[in-house]
Formats: sequence, structure tokens, C-alpha cells
Amino acid sequence: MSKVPDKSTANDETLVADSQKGDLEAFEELVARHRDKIYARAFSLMRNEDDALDLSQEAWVKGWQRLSQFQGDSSFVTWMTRIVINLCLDELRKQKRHRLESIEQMEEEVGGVERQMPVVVVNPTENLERAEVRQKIDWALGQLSAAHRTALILHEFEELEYKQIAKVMGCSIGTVMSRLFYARRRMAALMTGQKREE
Amino acid sequence: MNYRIAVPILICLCWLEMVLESAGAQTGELRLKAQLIWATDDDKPKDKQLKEVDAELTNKLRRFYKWKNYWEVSCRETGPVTSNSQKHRLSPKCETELKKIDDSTVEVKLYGEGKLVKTIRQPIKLLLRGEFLVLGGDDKEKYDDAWFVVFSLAKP
Amino acid sequence: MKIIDFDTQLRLQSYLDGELDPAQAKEMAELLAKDSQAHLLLQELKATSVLLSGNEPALRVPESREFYWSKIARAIAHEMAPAPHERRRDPISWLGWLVPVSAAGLVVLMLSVGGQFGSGPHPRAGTSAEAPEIDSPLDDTSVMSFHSATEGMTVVWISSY
Repeated sequence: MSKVPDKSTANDETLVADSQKGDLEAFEELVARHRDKIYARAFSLMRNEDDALDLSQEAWVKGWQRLSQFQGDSSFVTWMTRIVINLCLDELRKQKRHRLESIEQMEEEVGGVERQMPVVVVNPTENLERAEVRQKIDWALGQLSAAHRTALILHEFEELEYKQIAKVMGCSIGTVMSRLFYARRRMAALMTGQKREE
Repeated sequence: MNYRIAVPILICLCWLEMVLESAGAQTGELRLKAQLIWATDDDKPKDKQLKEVDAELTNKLRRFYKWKNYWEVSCRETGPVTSNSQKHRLSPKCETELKKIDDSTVEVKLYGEGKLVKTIRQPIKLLLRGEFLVLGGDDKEKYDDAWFVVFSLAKP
Repeated sequence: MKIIDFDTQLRLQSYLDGELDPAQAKEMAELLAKDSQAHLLLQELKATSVLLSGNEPALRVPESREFYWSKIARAIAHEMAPAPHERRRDPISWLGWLVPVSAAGLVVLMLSVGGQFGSGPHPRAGTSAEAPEIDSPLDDTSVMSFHSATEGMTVVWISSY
């Protein structure tokens, strides 16, 4: 059997360069290294394990197909994250078309209630281990609607600016600001155990 | 050391090695082993004729495929593969046909229930290196199981 | 207690996120200095943002490395497999290989002394140069294949519709 260099010690740049030349083993090493991050991003948006698995794997396939387009302007994992985010948003749009209009209206009304909510002191880490805080955040993210959660994730975790979020989500900057505001206030209420007023 | 002499000699030796390696592939006998394998997550079946596939091949199959267990249904040694087609029956429903197309390529035909399913042409050098050629598909009779036909170099 | 209007609330958020121009940011700073409600709201938004950025839930793929990769590899192989009508060899397409292969052979000949022509540069493992050629006489089957030098395997998966 031919000897192939151990890919696990190569850095990302080398693996990407090798992958761009058609080395599937190098690409597999990149997948192994970064699959958790890409999957986590997909799950945070979709909140469904099967969807997150399918979409993250689809993202890797697209990454392989588009490798020649990767110029190194960002890190490889950032580039892959953008691919999986776009796939997730496309899927969310498809799913949204099947939802009842009344749910949409209700969510917008709920957004209005948050404008008048009293301010809360956010200190949910008190008496909690970091793992518990993360669990609570994960739970709270699951309570948001897809649109609000997406705006929050893109801003807080992906560190995108408002105009970048607007472009990715296909909405106006004003809508981004409203969704982000609502999401933050809702998260604060959930993390401190405040009940939302109906 | 006189590098003007040593370097060309070294290059020459490397070339000789490559030529001999390819010459070996072109003129040596090719003897293969064909295994029909059943893949399943079920426990060991009662059919005593089924053998567990060896650990090396099982681990390789597990790297690519999801099934937990791999059972050898049958195993045939082909004898020297030549430019004349040779058929080998692996089960009442599964046959393979092997033929050397030229010095570097072997053609493998897979028959299912008498019908030609696939023709694959594989570089001989890969098999001579000790690599496996693995053909697989879903088991039509048992949902979620699979079959594999694995070709490898027969041990002398 | 006076409730801050929604527009101002959004501008407070923009101030926090560094999205205001200098003039707007200065205006907001002045408001914060005299409006305790605005100040409290900003603190809440800031605390939430800080909490989130340091504690993104860490998730792991709930599948083994091999199984997760196997599905990706199959999909890549499926994308790479040519359609049946493209599998017939096009004599013109082989001309594209003639120049680089000839050039490589010429360089090798020039470098060697008393040697013979070998088989040319070995293709990189995992590329289509080592993938098998496949014909499918049945219309109701499709095939996915790829070669892994690390595992020493050529894998051909035959699907029936």
C-alpha cells in the first residue's frame, strides 16, 4: 500500500491547498477538524438535529465543489460557515412558506409587547456553572422564532454588521434592528426567568 | 563526492526502479480473491456457513459504511486473470466476470440474477499494491441491509 | 415613568453595536448621561450581548467521524460521476492531456542518463485519475465511486431506483 503523508499535522492552509488540487483525504481532514463548528451553526439556526446534519453535510459537499472560489480572504472555517448559513436560511425560507399567516402575525405582535417590557438585570450566571449557562442559552434560543434567532446568531455569534445581516437575511436594516432588539430583550427575560406579558 | 556523477546515477536508479515496478505489473500474474459479503446491524445469523469478515476489511468497511456487522457469504479465488473472460459464481444470484483488458487494466463485470449490472475497469497497479475494490448496493430483500463484493489480491 | 419611544430604543441598540455615525453617537451619549431609563436599557442590552458572546452553546456532531464523512464522500462521488451519455471517450478531450504529458516525459528524459521511459508522474491519490471507469447497462441504477489511497480502497456504490 502506498504511504500517504499524515494529514492530521498539516495546517488548514496546506490542507485547503491540497484539497484544491483534488486531494480528498486532505478535505476529509478539514471536515474532521471543523465539522462540529459547522454542525453547531446549522443546529443553532434550524433547532433540529436531522436538518442540521443534512444541511451541514450539504455545506461540505458545496464547499468541495466551490473550493476553487476560496481565495483565503477569510479563514476556511469562516468561509464554510457562510455556506452553511446560506443553506440554512434557504431551508428556513422554504419551511416558512408552509406556515400559517396567523403565526407570523402573532410573532410581530409579540415583538410590540417587548418594547414596553421593564428592564431586567441580566445576571443569569450567578450560581451556575458555565456548562449550565450554555445549556440555558441553548434552551432560550430555542424559544425564539427562526427570524429572531437568526438575527441574534448572525450578530452575536457571527459578528456581522447590520447591513451584512440584512443582506444575508434578505430584509431591510430596519427589520434587522427590530428583530435583534426583540431577540435580545426576549433572551434577557428568558435567562432571568421573567415571564413575557401577553 | 562528485555530485555531477552521483546525481545522474541516483536519478537513473530511481527510473530503473519505476520501470521495473511497472514491468512487474505488466507481465506478472494477477490472482484475485472475490468475497461476497452481507452487511447488517442484526446479530449473527443462525446460518453457520456465514463467516465473520476479517478485522482489517471490517474496519475499512466501517470507515465508509454505517453497518455494524459484515458476514462473508462466499469467497472464490480466481486463478490467473487473463485476456480471456472468466466467470465466477459467488451465489445463486451473483456472478462476476474478470478479464485483463491490457497490461494495466482489469475489467470486472457484475451480474445480478443473470443480468449485467455494472462493468468496472480498475487499474491493476492498485490491486497489486494490496488495495481493495469494493462494489456495494442495498439488499433488495432485506430493508436496511447491504451486499458487497470485494476484490483483493489472492495470497500466494 | 416615561417610556422611551421605540425609535430611541433602537438607536440605543445601534449605539451599543457601534452602528451610529459620530454625530448620532454623541447625541446618544448625551441622552444616556441624563436619562436613567435609557441607561438601564443599555445595560440590559449590553449584559445580554456579553453573556451570549462568551457562552455560545458548544455542540458536537452526533455521528462518528467515519459515518459523517461517508455520506459526504458519497455525495461528492455522485456529483463527480459523469452522466451515462458523457462516459463514451471523446477523442478530442484526450488531446488536452497530450501536451502536459509530453512535456513531463521530455523533462524526465532530459534529466535521466541511460534510463528508459517510465510510466510518467504518478497521479495524486484520491483524484479521478485513480477512480475506476464504470459502465452501467441498466437504466434504473446509478453509481457513486471514489478512491481512497489512505484506506487502500476503491469504492463503487450501486443504487437502484
